[in-house]
Amino acid sequence: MQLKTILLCLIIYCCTFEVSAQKIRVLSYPTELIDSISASEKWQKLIKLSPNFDSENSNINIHSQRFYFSEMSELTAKKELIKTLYAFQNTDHQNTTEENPQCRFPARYYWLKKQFDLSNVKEVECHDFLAWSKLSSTQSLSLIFATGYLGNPASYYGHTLLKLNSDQNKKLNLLETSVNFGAKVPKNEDPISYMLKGVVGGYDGSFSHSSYYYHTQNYLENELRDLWEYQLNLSQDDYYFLVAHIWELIEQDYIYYFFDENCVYRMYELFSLFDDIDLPPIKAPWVIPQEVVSAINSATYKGVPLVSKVKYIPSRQSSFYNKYWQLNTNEKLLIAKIVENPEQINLLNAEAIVFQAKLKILSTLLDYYQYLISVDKDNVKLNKQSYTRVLTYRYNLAPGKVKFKDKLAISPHLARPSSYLQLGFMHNEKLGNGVAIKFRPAYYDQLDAESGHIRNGALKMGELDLEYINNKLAIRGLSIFEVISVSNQATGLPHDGYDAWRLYLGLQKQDNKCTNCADFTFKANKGLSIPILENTTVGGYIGGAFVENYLDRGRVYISSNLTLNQSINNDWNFLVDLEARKYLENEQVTKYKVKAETRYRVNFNHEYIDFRLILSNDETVLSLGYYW
Amino acid sequence: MNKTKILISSIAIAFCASSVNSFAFDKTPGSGPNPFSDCGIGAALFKDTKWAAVTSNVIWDIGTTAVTSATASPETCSGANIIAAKFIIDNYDNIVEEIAEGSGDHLASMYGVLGCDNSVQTEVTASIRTDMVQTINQADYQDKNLVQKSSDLYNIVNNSTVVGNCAVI
Repeated sequence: MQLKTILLCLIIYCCTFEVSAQKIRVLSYPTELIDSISASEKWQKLIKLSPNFDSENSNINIHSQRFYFSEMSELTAKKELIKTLYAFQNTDHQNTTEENPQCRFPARYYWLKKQFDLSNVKEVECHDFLAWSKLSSTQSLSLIFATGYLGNPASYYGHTLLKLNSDQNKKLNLLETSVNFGAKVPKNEDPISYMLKGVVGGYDGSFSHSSYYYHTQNYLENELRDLWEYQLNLSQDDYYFLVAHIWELIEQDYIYYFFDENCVYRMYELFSLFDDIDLPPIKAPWVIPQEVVSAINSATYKGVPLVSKVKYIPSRQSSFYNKYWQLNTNEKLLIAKIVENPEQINLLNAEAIVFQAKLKILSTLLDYYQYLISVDKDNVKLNKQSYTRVLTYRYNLAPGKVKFKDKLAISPHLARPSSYLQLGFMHNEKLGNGVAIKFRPAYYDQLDAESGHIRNGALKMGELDLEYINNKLAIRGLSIFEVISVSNQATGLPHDGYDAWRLYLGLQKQDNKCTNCADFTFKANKGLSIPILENTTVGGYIGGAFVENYLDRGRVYISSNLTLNQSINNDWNFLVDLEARKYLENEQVTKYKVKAETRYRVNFNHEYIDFRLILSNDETVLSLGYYW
Repeated sequence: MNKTKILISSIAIAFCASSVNSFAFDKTPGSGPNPFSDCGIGAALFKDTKWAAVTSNVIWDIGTTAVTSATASPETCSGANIIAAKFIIDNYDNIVEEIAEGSGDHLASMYGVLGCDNSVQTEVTASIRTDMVQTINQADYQDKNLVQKSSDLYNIVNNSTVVGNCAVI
């Protein structure tokens, strides 16, 4: 029996070897050429194998069998090259044009034609590919960046897309083809599974395509996220090559990892296919959209910047704020009256109100009600009625464009890097002098928000804060996440108030007088954050926390906070946070915490650092931070 | 899911094909079918929601298969008309706001699908706006759902006396 098995294996091995050898002979290409091309980085990138891969099945990025001519179980770069060349030259069994390997893999065909003599291969016109790519009219490619969205953890840090532009000179065409990479998440997935599977690779991800307007509606109107468009400067050859490669990748399954092999990484990977590109590497082991946007903006292509044009596209909410804050006091007053009682729209009939002012008010109101339709889900019908009333009034006036100034938005690629390392020198009244080190993979805190972030807000994940004091190394804090959401531009109109909230989950030091006392903390606060002046915001919060029992104070406390955020200028700002805690168990002790922190940022030669001074109960910290 | 789409698409094509007999020879403005009511795709393609709630960064089914299949249908239920109808319902509020103002990206994109040259767009918009004023001032406008409003707008565009300058209509 064993002898039979051995003989059978030998026969299979010999047959396999013979088939490969026959294919090479049939293909009549020198073995050295086959070896050289199959070992090339470009070929391995095209077939999504990790560089220098030539072993069995360990670093395959795509796990769809239909992406390969070889069996996945025996996939190597060389075998796949041989089978691909063979497939291009033996198409008799293909029933339709679209099944032809040239049409399934136009980028492979395009590139291999330059490496091998494929003159014996009959060119096929791939109708589906040509119709999709609109290559006859498409002239450029844009990278689209959607700013972060706190409604979905997977979108906290933003998202990227590609857009194929059919004509550079025309205005925006919302029917252009866009390409997206995303995780395939089943409907009604619960949030815990969603987060866990996203992190550990429990979902497939793939490229998909749709008309661009599906995304503009979703981002600008639904999720109220601003978009940035970076138009890229590519040669027609490379443009064809990239679009052809994307066609090959559509609906092929990758494993999706939230932190590194995510949507934006797959976009970044596409650009690394070009020979003439100098693309900055991603330094961190995690990949954040803003970092990739910065890399693309720093990249050079054939000696010139890869990005040729940057465009800001405001969401409905941003458009509303931009308009509202340009209105004069009387116009704002009229809006407040109309919102309070929609019948008051007839106030606009007054002759004293000039046509342009009426248009401004009506345009602002249309944006306001559209914004409410997205956020105020309990009153959609009412808001739609108000919207239609304003629209009807607008139709009864003459056509005409409203003259508002465009918002001077700063592109996210100009913001500082996302990761932060801080070295602090501390003095503690009880414990003496010490050193603190803080490491934050991403993203921003209440003092260092920049473009693409929420000013005075915070979004942190995995921030580790260590101290060495009193001859002890200890954790000061370790956040799983911390989110502070504020409305910096709120108008105070109904459902556009100054609501703010804070959430913290992680380990937190319970008192400055102790060391090694960072305990589990889950904290939630709700309140108001009101911009009383352009650079001054005050906040008030109430809430509470579940904590470990420390000094027998108990495991639950309620708290109230008063905050002040003040910007002195573009580089210098400070924050004051006063907190009163009332523990609900045992002796029900009350504790007061004071924290005042000021930050000064410096940028030289594209290196970003900051200096901070933090004063709190019993402790002073002076720190130097570096963004990378 | 795919089977359902194929079935829906097949029905759509069948309906469109049957519509061809009725409309193929009548080329005056407004004589063509309205995809919302005449192309048999109905609820599969045109949903009465401002926007299907989707989660960013997640791949979602947007009915492109149905649109693509519909493009195979002949002449009067042509692909471009279906795409224009889908574009109108998915961007209705933006388009209507831009008609009120006289121009805009959504409106220009719609004209792009319908094959209207830049030179005629101002005239077409003025004509559509005149009809929209009548429509929006009707007492029942508020109560119409999105499909009905989009269908009305599609008819207005289709019935415009100047759309003869647009290649698709």
